[in-house]
Amino acid sequence: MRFIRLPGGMYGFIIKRLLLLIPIFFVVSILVFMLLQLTGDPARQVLMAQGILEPSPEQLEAVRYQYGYHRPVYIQYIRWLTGYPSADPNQGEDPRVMTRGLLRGDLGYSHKFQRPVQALMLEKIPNTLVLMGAAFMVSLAMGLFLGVIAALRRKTWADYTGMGVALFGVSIPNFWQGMMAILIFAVLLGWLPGEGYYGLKWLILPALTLGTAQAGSLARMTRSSMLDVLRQDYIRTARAKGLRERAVIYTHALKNAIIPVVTLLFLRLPYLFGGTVVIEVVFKWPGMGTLLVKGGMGAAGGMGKDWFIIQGGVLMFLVLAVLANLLCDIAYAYLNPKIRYGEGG
Amino acid sequence: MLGNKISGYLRGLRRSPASRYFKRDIRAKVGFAIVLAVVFTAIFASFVAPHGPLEPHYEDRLQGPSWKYLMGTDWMGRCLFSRIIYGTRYALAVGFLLIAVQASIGVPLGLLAGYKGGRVDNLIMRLVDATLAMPGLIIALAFVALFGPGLYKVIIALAITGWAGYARLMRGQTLAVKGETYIEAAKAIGEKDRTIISRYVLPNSISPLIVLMTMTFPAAILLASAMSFLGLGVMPPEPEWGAMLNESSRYLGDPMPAPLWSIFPGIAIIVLVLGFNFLGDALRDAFDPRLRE
Repeated sequence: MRFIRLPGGMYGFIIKRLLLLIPIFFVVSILVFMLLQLTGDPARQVLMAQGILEPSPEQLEAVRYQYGYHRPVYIQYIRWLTGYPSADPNQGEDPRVMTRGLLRGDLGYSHKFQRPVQALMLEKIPNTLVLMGAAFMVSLAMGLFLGVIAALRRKTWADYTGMGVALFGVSIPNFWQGMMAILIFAVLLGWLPGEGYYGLKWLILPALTLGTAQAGSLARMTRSSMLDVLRQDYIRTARAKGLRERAVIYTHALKNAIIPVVTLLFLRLPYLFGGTVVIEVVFKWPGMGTLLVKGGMGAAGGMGKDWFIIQGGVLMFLVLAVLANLLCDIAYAYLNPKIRYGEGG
Repeated sequence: MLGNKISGYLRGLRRSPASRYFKRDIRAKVGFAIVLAVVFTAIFASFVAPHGPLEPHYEDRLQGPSWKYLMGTDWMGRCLFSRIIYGTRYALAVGFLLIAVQASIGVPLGLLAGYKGGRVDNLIMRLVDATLAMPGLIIALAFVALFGPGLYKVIIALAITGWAGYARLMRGQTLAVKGETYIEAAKAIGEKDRTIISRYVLPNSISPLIVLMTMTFPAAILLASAMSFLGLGVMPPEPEWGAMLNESSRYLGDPMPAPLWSIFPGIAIIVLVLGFNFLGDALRDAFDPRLRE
């Protein structure tokens, strides 16, 4: 990028990072495309997803030509990405099953669910985002609250209980916590529904479960960051100025203590994505995680793995991870000028 | 050679202030006791367990706790207590193996990056950054979809992303040591890179490495049990805790509720993970004087 002069400062940094998305997306798309190739025989996988677990050589051959798997890999990749070259009936390629390309929003047809993958994904992605968003809020609220209380009431019962809860939070398998939540609140008490997603009431248990998984480490981080800040000179100055304790804590200390916490929050987003998959399965949440696990499990219902589903799911989570990383970098550059003007980019 | 050095290091450690601090820490005692008890259970599982882990008792299906079955039985009448006892073997195996694989990828790469610097460093650290930004569980899921489930495959699947933390730690350690005068001196008298690394850089990085290993152990156990729970790790009927929970989750509510079956394996995971977390926190505080109060 040396031959183009980019504006410096914050905007230049953001533009650089946005431009960097292009090669990253390229790499991600190759990884996702290679998934099906790495199985050894894409045609066999397509047939297995249709429920034909032991296809005959004739069937394999037919599918191989229909889907264009007889072409060189790079042609297949370009076609998977862009839809070109389009299906050539002279070579036995079938325009009805041929992909129109990822860039035009086609990820293939799922034989397991009898629908195009992109239609399934459009239906499931909002549910997953709702769950992750709610869990994110829960973890932020709980983590900050516990951490700040523990730091301010250091070495009192509040600190010990708060940190005990946090340690417990990072030591519980999240999926088991979800099972216990279902057992207690749905099965025994009957207060809240524990399966599916038909309204806000259904969101409560999974969001709380997924949120607490992050809250534990967040609380510990908030506490240590807060303690660090409270030791600084500017806090002593603020107190010496005669500011009210509340002003010292909330405007001076918390504002500074929150910087590393926010960074940690963004850095830990990949964990949230993985956690979502598990929690969705526990609560039978109709989202991408459930779809991905269902598609990735072989032999369920006498069918093979549905690789188009796996590709779609992995692609979505990788794109989310890339975007989260971008947000993290931008937030960090915004908060820390050293990065902004340095060679980082 | 290296073994000698490590034992020498440990002898020195016994008299260090870190060690004195560690010995007084209640978390260290509790954590150490738990881990020791679990290791002991895993080794002598066949003596501790009253029944075989796969042995069905069809006449005693889905029973509550009794003197015969301390934690009750599952849908095939297998003794849950015995299965949890045998499950310690899987948990410890997963933890140790995963850490070993992660460290053996991450440590050399981190050393290389820190020691060589320049372009090599840049390349390796870009890889580390990219790996850290990836959702590990999703990558593991894709890997298992490709190569099938199983204990060893899950370990490899989780190591694909797990090594990066070790590489970053090791690079930082190497960089910190590299600036010291004794390294300059060693270079001046013509020591080979290999000698410098094994004699100065590695021994100086053992403490933080041990801390990181102790702290990633619980994460490894949690991740692996989650994979097994999804049906992508160790498969039923093996007595792995996550796999047991996978089987039991269908019996949580109606029509045949057996909640205790879901409770006990979870508690087993928590106890072991808490033990390692206690130990890890205590070790970190002992080695990092700034964190002591």
